[in-house]
Amino acid sequence: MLFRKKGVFLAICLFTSLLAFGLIAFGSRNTNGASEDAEFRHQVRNAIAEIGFPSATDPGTIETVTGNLSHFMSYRAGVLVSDANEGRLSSAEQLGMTRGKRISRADLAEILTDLASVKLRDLTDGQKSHVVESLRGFDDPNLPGSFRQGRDYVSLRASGKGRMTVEAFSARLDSVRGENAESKLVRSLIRNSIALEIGQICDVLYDASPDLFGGTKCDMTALQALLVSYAVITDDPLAGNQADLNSKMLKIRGGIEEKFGVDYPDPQGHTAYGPNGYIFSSPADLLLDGTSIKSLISKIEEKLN
Amino acid sequence: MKRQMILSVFLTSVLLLACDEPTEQCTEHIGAGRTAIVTAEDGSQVVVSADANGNVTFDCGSRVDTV
Repeated sequence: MLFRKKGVFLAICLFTSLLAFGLIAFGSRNTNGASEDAEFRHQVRNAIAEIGFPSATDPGTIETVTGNLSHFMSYRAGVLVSDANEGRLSSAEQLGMTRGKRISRADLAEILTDLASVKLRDLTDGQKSHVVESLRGFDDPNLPGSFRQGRDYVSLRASGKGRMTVEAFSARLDSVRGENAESKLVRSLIRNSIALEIGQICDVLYDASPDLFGGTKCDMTALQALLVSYAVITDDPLAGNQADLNSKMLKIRGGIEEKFGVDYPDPQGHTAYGPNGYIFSSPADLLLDGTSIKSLISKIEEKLN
Repeated sequence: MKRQMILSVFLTSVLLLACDEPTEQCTEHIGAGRTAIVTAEDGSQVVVSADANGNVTFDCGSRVDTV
């Protein structure tokens, strides 16, 4: 009886100790997590402030903001928006505001799926090589050996998701390009992946700035739809303005040199995202070239009409 | 004919899955907006950035150092 009571007592002690330890650990992690999240939200607000989305239909303001967005995508990922496309984008923004219409998450997922399917269908061997090369990550003649070895793999997302050897990715790309790109199965896979990414970006933007989407969870104006499309394609988390991003790249270089005792290339002259991006490299120049941006704006305009 | 085709597709899929066993993936929370260096077991290194939930994904057995 005593033995049983002692066993129960020990079990209770052990359980309460574990519970206390768990609560302390959770509490401290939660505090750290909360401050990390607050800092991240602050960084996202800094990025959005740089664009300054318009709340009025004044054409002058819309043109200025279109220019800001164009500059934003250019310095971060080398994505270039021509004057003609900037004009189209301003008109689409104006149209949506005048009609009081916005682009839903589902609309944007459908539009981007259409664009991606066409790109995959028409992907030439040269373009395929560019896609593979971009996703192998940042390259520089002075890249340390271990980081060069890391380029034997591709990562489909900046977080490391979708990591596979270059050969495996090349074979997978071959299996979905050409006629297969427009099959129901491939389209559905692309659409689901894009919809998930759009959802995550919308959540980040909404958390940082709940008024951004006119009080909705993610109903976008034309300019916002292009920003979200850019983020899906480049995997830019939309955190930090130009100065923040420059200091982040320097911090990465400093961290690598300090922790691993190697010389790492200077970020000067490199974009953070897009082809050969210092933080994450992606074929943004191919997926957001002049023709694709024009097509994207036309499809957005159709939805707003 | 249709049954044969279904069987053939099924067997091919099983064969592909058996041959193409993916490396086990692990995730680690480093905090939204943070960047890390993942060092794989073979010594290769890559720069990764946390996703919206603050996580990075890597082959299990790799080392993660935030920078």
